[in-house]
Amino acid sequence: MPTSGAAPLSRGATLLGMLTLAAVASLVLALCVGSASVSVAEVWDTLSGGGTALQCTLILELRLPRALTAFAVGGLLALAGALIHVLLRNPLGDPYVLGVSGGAATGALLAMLLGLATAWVSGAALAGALGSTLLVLGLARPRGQPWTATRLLLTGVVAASGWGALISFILSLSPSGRLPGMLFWLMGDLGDAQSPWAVLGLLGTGLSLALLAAPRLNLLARGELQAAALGVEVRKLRVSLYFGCSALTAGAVVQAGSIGFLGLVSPHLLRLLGGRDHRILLPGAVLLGGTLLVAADTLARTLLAPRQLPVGVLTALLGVPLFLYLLNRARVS
Amino acid sequence: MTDHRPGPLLEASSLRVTRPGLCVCEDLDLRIEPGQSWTLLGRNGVGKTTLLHILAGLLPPDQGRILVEGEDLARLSPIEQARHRGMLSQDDEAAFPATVLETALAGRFPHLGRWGWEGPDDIAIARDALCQVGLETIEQRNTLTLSGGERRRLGIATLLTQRPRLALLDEPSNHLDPHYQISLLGRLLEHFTQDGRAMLMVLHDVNLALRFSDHLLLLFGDGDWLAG
Repeated sequence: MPTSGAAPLSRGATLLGMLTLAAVASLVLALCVGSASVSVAEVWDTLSGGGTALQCTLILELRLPRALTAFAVGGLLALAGALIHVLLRNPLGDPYVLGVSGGAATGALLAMLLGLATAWVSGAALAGALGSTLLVLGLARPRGQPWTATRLLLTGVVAASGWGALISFILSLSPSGRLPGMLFWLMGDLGDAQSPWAVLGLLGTGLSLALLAAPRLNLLARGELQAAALGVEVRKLRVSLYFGCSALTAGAVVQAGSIGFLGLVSPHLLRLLGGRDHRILLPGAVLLGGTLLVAADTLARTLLAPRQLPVGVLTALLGVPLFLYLLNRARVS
Repeated sequence: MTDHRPGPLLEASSLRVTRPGLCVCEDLDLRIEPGQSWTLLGRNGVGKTTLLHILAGLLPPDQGRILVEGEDLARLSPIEQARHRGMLSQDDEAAFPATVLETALAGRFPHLGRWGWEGPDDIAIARDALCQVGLETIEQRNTLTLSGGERRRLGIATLLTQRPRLALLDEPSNHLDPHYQISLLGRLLEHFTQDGRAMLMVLHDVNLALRFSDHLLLLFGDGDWLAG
């Protein structure tokens, strides 16, 4: 543990620098590894405009969009997780706890059951996510009553269970030919990542807005009453947090299905690495979540190649031991 | 806000505060002048904390108005309010790990710019406040591992770091052993009755109230009150 609290900025900068290196390394690895291996030098060549036609197709049209999408989705989930921890003031908070992903999954599976095209599946997922967001907010805020974290959490958890039941219902009605696609969607899958720009844009916007609010988030995490007494407009901040989390989660889920675990664990990993201040925690969690998802996706498409595994399975398989190790180490020190 | 404006630090007039099934106060007039130390007394459930939150501007009163140094409290932004008055709440609600020093530094928030990075001056102020409550040796400890009394002292240090003109304290002596009750209330009294500052605290112990304050506000639970 550092002994001086006098330089939070420089300590944070070191941590962020290391996480940036890890992110770059994971992206380069994702570009190199696959059915046809490419060396780092060849990747560099291709990125700077050279390379053979095959390498151009492989790297620029297949691997790069997928790796960037994975990074953005991981970052979105981690950012949403960090924000939801503050919103609910509960370390067990998770972007899926408010029922956003349940709503999105119900919409997506319904569209798949009806045999609609991919664009419709994404649209239905978005509609489900928005519907669930408004429903939970409306139910958690009865007229004239204050809005408590516990009430919001309970409403979200109950809504998520409701969506879960609907999802099982849809699965049991579905013809067996459509089930694998549905299951992949539910476990999270980056297979049809084509253009990363929408999710990257959402991530950039979300992170910038969240960073502007970071000093206020630090106070809110310490207590609502104290935050209010120190000049934070708590109610306004919480409503924007709620909609922000929902938008970030919806973006990730619509793009890649319900990839579990990253949102819960990335902010905690950052805290264990020493990034407790939200001005460090938020960008750090984005980098870490992105890196983990890129690494998991690279494994998902190479481990049992040519078979592709659902990436959601691997995020947990990678994340669980890493998290338990860091948690254990922190307790010892 | 270091400029000294004329008028009382807090002036409540014709204040009416009610809660379902409870009339906290009716037609309350209160003037807190610089240098004064007030204690708010009343039995459990009489609405002392509610009144304190209203005087802090965190909740609106049913009727009446509150002026701080001649300005309407309700018109000030939350940040402006926070530069003027500080509040120590009854319980600490921290849910995530933070160090003692980081927590005390939260008191600088109303005085920082948009990005809120604390400078060396802010850290010096926070360290000085930690010294005053005897926590300077554990400034890197995780607050989740502190005892109740240590958290209370940290809350007081955060308030001292905020450097408000008016301190509103909800049971500052909670969780403190008798030795710290006397020495910390003494420190608070010394700090908040100098340089045009003032304080108002909620206490249960009449002896402490008589020893550490020069004015009393009594709530009787039926809307009646007595001040002086």
